[in-house]
Amino acid sequence: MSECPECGRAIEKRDLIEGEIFPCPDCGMELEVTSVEPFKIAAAPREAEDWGE
Amino acid sequence: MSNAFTLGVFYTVIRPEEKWILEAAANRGIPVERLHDEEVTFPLVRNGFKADLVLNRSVSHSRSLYALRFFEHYGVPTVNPYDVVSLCGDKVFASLRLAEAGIPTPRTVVALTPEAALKALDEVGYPAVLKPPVGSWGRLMAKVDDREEAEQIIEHKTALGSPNHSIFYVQEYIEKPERDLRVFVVGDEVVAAMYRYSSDWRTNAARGGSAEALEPTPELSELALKAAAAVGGGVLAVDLMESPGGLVVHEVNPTPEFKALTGATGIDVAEKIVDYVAEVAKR
Repeated sequence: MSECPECGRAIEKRDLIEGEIFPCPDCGMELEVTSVEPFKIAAAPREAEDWGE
Repeated sequence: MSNAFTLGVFYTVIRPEEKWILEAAANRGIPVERLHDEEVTFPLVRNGFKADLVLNRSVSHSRSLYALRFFEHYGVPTVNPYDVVSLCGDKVFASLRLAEAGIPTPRTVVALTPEAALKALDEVGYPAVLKPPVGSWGRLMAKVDDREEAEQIIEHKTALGSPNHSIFYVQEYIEKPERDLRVFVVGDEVVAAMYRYSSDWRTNAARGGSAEALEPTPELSELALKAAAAVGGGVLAVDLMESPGGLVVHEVNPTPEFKALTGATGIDVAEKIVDYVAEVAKR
């Protein structure tokens, strides 16, 4: 269990994998799994100017 | 399926696309080495990683370019190769290559200074579209309706001060239905296609447009395959618009997203990509 750094909502590990990005179910902030064991999350990286497809 | 090779996946973040690719590789018994673009270091002599082939899924164009060049330097094939990503990642070079291959594209004029950009816009005629040469997801693109607006936008771009905004890629504004077409090419096959709808003139899925499956006509498939081949082939999303004069290719994406495409078509694009990289690994 970890917490959204923006709104504090408890986030469960479920089937998330390291590096995975997902929105916080409460506040919608984009989060990233930075570690699975122990389970840690942080704000997802900010989009840079050269990011894309 | 052979598992005699280790697949390197070079990535920035794990989106549904990357997760599906990892799952498809696992289902085929292909060992995967995850290479996070924020952590990998690149000495001049290969050291410390196992991958026999690297699939590039980094969302950063500059990180992709340097990394792919290093992997090739180490003798590790990449999908897509450096040359393809380098070409497709710069709209100027991509347009040149598509034009050289006889692919219909929107009328395009490039200018290298703010003064010449105004001339380029006059040549193309208003409304026109002004794009940075490098960039995606419709970011910092501008629809320019008249000369006054052009002067303001160019002044703002100049104030940004970045080299990317000092080169002006000007394109005719295509009067099209509120949609464009995306054709996903893997190797020499069209694996899926969709319409992308949006009332915004930018129909990029990243901007919130909706998607609908599309059964590609022979003409559409042929044009997409020709465009993909023109830039060097591989795993590519060819974006097209329906102009009054027929289909035009406006972009070939070298690290394409396919979440919306998979959702709209039900086609497992990740599987197709993994099968393709397994084939490339055997060569």
